[in-house]
Amino acid sequence: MSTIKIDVLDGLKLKWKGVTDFDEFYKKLKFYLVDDLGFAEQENLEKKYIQKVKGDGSTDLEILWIADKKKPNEFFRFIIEVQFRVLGMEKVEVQQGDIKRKMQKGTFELKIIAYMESTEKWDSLKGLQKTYQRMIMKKRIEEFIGILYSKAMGLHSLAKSFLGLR
Amino acid sequence: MSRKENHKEKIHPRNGVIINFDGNFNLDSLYNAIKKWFDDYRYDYYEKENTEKNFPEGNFIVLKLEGRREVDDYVKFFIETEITVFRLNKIEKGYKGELKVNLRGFYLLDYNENWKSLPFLFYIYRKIILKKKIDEFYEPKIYEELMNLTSEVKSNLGIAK
Repeated sequence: MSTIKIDVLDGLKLKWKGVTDFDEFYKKLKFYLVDDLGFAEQENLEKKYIQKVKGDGSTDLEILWIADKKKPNEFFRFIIEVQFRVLGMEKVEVQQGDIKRKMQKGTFELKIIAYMESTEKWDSLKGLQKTYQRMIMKKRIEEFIGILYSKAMGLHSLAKSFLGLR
Repeated sequence: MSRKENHKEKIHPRNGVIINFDGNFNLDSLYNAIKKWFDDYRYDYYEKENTEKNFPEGNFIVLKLEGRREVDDYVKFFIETEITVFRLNKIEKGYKGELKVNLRGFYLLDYNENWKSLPFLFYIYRKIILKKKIDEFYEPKIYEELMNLTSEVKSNLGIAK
């Protein structure tokens, strides 16, 4: 009932229509989230993967990742959501110097959401305990927001640089 | 406690401040100038959207850049910048295309929702006690900053300020 939710990034959207190496893109972002800081585990990161092959041979994809493993302390949890939407993806071969690379052409959309949520431990605190914790936690919450912001923005920058967006 | 946003008061003209530009410009420099402006004015920077589509006649781009600043414990400023580019083509120096920049400014009262449980008292506080400060300080301040960013954009594009 008294769960705290603090939005840090309320939906940063990236969209690229053109050619990219989507397999590599997918892997790069996944490895960024599954790190030694414990933001996510590879097995539990992907909550949704829907692939639709259309009549013309192109593919639509819908993928949802939720990285919710990292707890900066016993009262809070970091959550980073990544939503992929790929429309009309087709395989293409691109000549890069002497090499022919297999890449994908289509519309690639990515949305990044980051927020902090209180844990069950916080929710179970009663009256004065909660007021006390809220008072001493105020400064730490600002620090936690900073950590989550920089992690999520790092993911955003990585995706932008991979897609060649400014 | 949730930090969801309440209603924001707008200070811009109905459709925002619009700058249209057709010709040669440096999009990277414009993008960096806006980011730097947010940084210089101590706004937290959010890139709400970054879209680029490849078309034979040139690229189509949408950039939604937003800045948020907590002025004090009670008031937060928002400045939204939307850059839309049609038929963007790289030329020797910079880019050529049609550019539209739309700037909007808002302020939000009680962004921490400290008064949420006391709506009547909040109304009194806002309409009587704080009214003068809103009219004479907050609104002119955010308006001035919006105009300052507008000038920065115009200056970057080399058009009259």
